[in-house]
Amino acid sequence: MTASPGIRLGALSVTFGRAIRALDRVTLEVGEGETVGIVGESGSGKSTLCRTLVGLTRPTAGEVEVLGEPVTVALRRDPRGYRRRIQMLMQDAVATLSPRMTIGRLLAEAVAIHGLDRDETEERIRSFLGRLRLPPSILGRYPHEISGGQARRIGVIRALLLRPRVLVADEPTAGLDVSVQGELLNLLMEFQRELDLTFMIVSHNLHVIKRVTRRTLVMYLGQIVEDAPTRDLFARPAHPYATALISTNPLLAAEDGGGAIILRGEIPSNAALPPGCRFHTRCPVARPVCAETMPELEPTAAGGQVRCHFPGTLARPGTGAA
Amino acid sequence: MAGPLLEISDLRLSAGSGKGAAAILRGIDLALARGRILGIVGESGSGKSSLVNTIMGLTPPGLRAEGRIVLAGEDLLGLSPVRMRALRGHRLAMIFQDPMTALNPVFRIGTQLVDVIRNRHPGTVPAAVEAMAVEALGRVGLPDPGRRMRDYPGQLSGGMRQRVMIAMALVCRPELLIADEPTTALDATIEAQIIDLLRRLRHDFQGSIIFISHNLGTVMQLCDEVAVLYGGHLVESGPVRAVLRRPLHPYTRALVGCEIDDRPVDAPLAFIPGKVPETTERPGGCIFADRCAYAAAPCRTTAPRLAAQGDDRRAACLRLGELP
Amino acid sequence: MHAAAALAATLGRVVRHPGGAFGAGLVLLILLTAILAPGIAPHDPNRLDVVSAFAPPSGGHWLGTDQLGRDLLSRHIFGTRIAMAVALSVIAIALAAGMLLGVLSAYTSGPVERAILVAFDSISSFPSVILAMAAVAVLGSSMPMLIVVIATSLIPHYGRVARAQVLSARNEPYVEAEQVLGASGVRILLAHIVPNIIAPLIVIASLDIPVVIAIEASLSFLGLGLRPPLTSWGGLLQDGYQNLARSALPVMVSSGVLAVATLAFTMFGEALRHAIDPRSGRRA
Repeated sequence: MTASPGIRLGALSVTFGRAIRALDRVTLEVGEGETVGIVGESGSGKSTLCRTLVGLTRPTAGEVEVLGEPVTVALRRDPRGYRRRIQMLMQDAVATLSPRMTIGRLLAEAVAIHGLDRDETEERIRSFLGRLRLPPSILGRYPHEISGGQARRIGVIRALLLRPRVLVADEPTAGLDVSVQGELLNLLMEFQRELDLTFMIVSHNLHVIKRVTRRTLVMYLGQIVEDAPTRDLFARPAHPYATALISTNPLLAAEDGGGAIILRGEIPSNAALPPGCRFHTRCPVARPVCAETMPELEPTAAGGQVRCHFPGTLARPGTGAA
Repeated sequence: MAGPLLEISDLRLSAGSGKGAAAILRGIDLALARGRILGIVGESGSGKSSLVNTIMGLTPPGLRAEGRIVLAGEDLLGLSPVRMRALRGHRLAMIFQDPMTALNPVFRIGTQLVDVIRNRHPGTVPAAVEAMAVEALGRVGLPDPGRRMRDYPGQLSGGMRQRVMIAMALVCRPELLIADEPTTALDATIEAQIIDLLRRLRHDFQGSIIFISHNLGTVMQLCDEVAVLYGGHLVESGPVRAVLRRPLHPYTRALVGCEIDDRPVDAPLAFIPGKVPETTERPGGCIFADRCAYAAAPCRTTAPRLAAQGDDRRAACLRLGELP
Repeated sequence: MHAAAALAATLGRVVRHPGGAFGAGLVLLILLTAILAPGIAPHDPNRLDVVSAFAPPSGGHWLGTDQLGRDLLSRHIFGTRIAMAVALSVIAIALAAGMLLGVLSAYTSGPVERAILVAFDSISSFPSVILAMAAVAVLGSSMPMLIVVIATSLIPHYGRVARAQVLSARNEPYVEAEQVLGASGVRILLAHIVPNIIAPLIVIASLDIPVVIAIEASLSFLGLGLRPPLTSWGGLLQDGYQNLARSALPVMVSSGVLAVATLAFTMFGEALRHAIDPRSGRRA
């Protein structure tokens, strides 16, 4: 969408085993320095997408390029160089810290692995600790001795020590109390602006995405179903799934909480995907064609893209003309 | 109806003694009328789960519960373990965040549901028990309930398991149903289904519900009243709309303020600096003073008492009258 | 620093476990006896004194003498050396080889993995004693031979646990996080996987020590183990057994020593298992 792509996916598919299709021909371009949010539920493929970007999961088909270079090539040519360009904050921050190492040693690993300058890095760690409001004594602690919020901030330091150009955050606030999630998000956004990071943030919390991104992707069962400027998406979602998802989670400030669209049924399994539009089994406005033909991502008037035969037909109850 | 269904007074839960003593609940006063849904909110470590576990008589060994928990005239804290066990499943029922903690993976859900019904309504003829079980599963929205009876818990999705838990609670016809974060582990659209189910069921369910959640939006949708817990204290309570729209206590204000608002992307998000007090801390004044934006000198020396604010609201803060 | 502190903490938990202090104390005593044998044995274990054969316990011979008048206490003290040397070498070899093969099998696929697993299955389909008897019968008996044979029979024990541990540790978030950070496979294995899988292996090792002592004693008792002049506990038991009609004392002493040693290591091992197992409430 902007000048040079930070991330480019070309018909990326990831299949586990023979039948489980986690990602299905996902095509996407994220400009350098852009912040993109991804929302979706179980099976949407949002975590698989992140893992593919950092090389934890291999693409089954299609292309993945980060900063203009295909990931498979970059990982073969200079794996460490690639790691320095893209870093990830993983879910379950405490579990991502090796349990028998102190926080200090875990941070020092970046130095050892990438041959960073020892004194300079120490200086940077100190300044990061200060900015993230972590006491220096935390360096002597073990992962199980620190809180979930602290572990997340240590994860941020570990990632940023390598001065990455691209940062992927998979559910960075999951499990955090609302009282502290704001602080972490503020810091992440500060770093994004300061370092001009290409930032991809995944969350099941729509409000988080709404508040920190300018562009949002909605995923359902391995596909992007809507890709739109965040403000537009929340004001006028085009895809019925996006409409329902936004309606289920009203802001406290919204006048009436009763406007939730209740989708019927369960999320289908990635191993037995419905034919036609993947959402038709739960869609309140599905018509016969939806069960037969899979819609493609088509541009919308508002400048986004939507994968629906009848975009914009599902109205939110109780909110009037949003 | 005369008097509230549940009346908790000066409930304290503590462990150990001397210097390392931990105070988990520090004197909770709370009443719940029949047929009402009470939401309990607060950060992790505020004592939400400890409070409901104490009501259920599920206090871990080594913890001391003092005070009174009166359910329809009977003080639960004074009951023998045998009597308490008899109450659970009859007058008290609970659903958990993870249904697998309560469902036995090696028995069919039908078998487990039938056991609950037989235990609750002894003497019912088997055919009627079976019919009741199928009916309950149907009412909680399990498709094809007759066949689902033969499924094992592992064959159901998280949302379906939670429906089964609700069905079990329903057949008990408890006077008080406690739901401890029942939707936290579920996907958003499934969570909406469960909340919707609970809203619809409350009409044919005569009892009261205590609903614990960290999601203020959900509490607003489902509950009639709300109680805000902080560091083992009840700091504010009242009708859900009034409290969450116009919070009185600085902690409730801060918590509501942390809910993500509609401001533009560049504006920083709100948060509450500092961290929740440890159970071993014994502040001389208000438990929230350290993190409070409005704290003044007296707040650090005098502990505020929970006081009535108007007809149906209560808050524990020394400076209520002076706050902007 | 960390390792020392962790070791001290673990030992602290061992000692606090019921029977742990007793087991640990006895183990320490056994190890000291083995190390200091020449200094503390009252007599030369091989000095013959036929005149005082089968002497009852006395001031000169605390545990009496055997059929050739050799001091039983001294012979058992030197036997401790043999028992410990065999047990510790066997465990060290089995642990090292088992871990190597187990890790290798977890990291390879196809023929290499299958070959290792088939080898594990073949070895463990024979009881250790039978396997060792067969090997000794064919290849003859010497101390290194005995050690290698018993160690081989125990390799699958460690190999399988190491393999299972690696397979599950490889999917741990912290291992994936290291990958994302750019750590090499070798670095992840040595710095992150091995330290996290070694604890259960050490526990198995401590519980295997009495097993090895028993196997070695059985082989020596059957005449397939160590030959004189090496005085193994099993050999001593055999000596006593042959002369059981003339005196029960040597048999009683040898059995007693064996029983106490196995008990000590078992109790220590159990306590260690509790101290290391995270499920036993390590993080309160």
